[in-house]
Amino acid sequence: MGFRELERYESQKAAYDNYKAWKALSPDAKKALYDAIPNIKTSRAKPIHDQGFIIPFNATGTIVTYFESSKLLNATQGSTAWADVCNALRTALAARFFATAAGTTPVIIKNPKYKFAKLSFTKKENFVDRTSRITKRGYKKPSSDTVSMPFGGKDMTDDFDTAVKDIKTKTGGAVAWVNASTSTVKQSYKFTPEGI
Amino acid sequence: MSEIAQREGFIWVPDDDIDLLSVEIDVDANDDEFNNMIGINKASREWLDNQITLRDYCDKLQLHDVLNPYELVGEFLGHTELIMRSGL
Repeated sequence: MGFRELERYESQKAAYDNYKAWKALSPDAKKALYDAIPNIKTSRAKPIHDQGFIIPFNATGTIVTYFESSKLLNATQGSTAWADVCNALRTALAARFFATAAGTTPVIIKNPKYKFAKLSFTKKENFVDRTSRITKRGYKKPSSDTVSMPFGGKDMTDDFDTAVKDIKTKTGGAVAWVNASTSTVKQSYKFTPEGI
Repeated sequence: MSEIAQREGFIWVPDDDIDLLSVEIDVDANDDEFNNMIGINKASREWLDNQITLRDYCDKLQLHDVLNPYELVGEFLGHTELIMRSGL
């Protein structure tokens, strides 16, 4: 038996003690420490939303079925820090959401239990050195903006996998979004499927 | 208090529970990691929709390179229990 695990304990003990001390704090004290992180309370992304319509995946029939959503991003987000994230997301999902329910006698379902498929873009930038409030270790704290938007099929026959493939590789799509990362700006994305 | 609520100092109640379980990828991700991201998020949806059991869900997470699925699922269960107890 070697001493690797014991040596690891020795080297990690200071951070572990800090973690235990933090765990023992009251909820109010923990919240105060969290709120003391610069900009954490004020810089949360709050995009302007629109009402609109989404066609669910794997639908059938000739009459178009729409689900109403109030979480579509508005085309004009102003000059907020998260405006460029919203605009990129809206571009990536073009033609997969609708301002009006078109077609002959479309079916519109309001307030559904249906969970929308979503694409989410995250942008992290302006990394600054900070000391963790939990372990007291140093780390790089970014300004982070995450925005998500529901999407659906272009038409009634679309399915989730085809849509993901299309959004991923198209011009201005998800791959273009992450490829815009630089040494100081880190961009990431995720797809989540619909739920019925 | 759940681990998630302890860290942030407030009880986060997402519109859609999948926000607590889903994962994302960055520019360094290769095609395998892209497929894992899609696979993990699909498995999360299947579990939330009660199409697969918790054991199958953890198996699927492991299949998609989540080495310790219970770490992810445990935090989720702790947090949803807190949301339910608080009546949110």
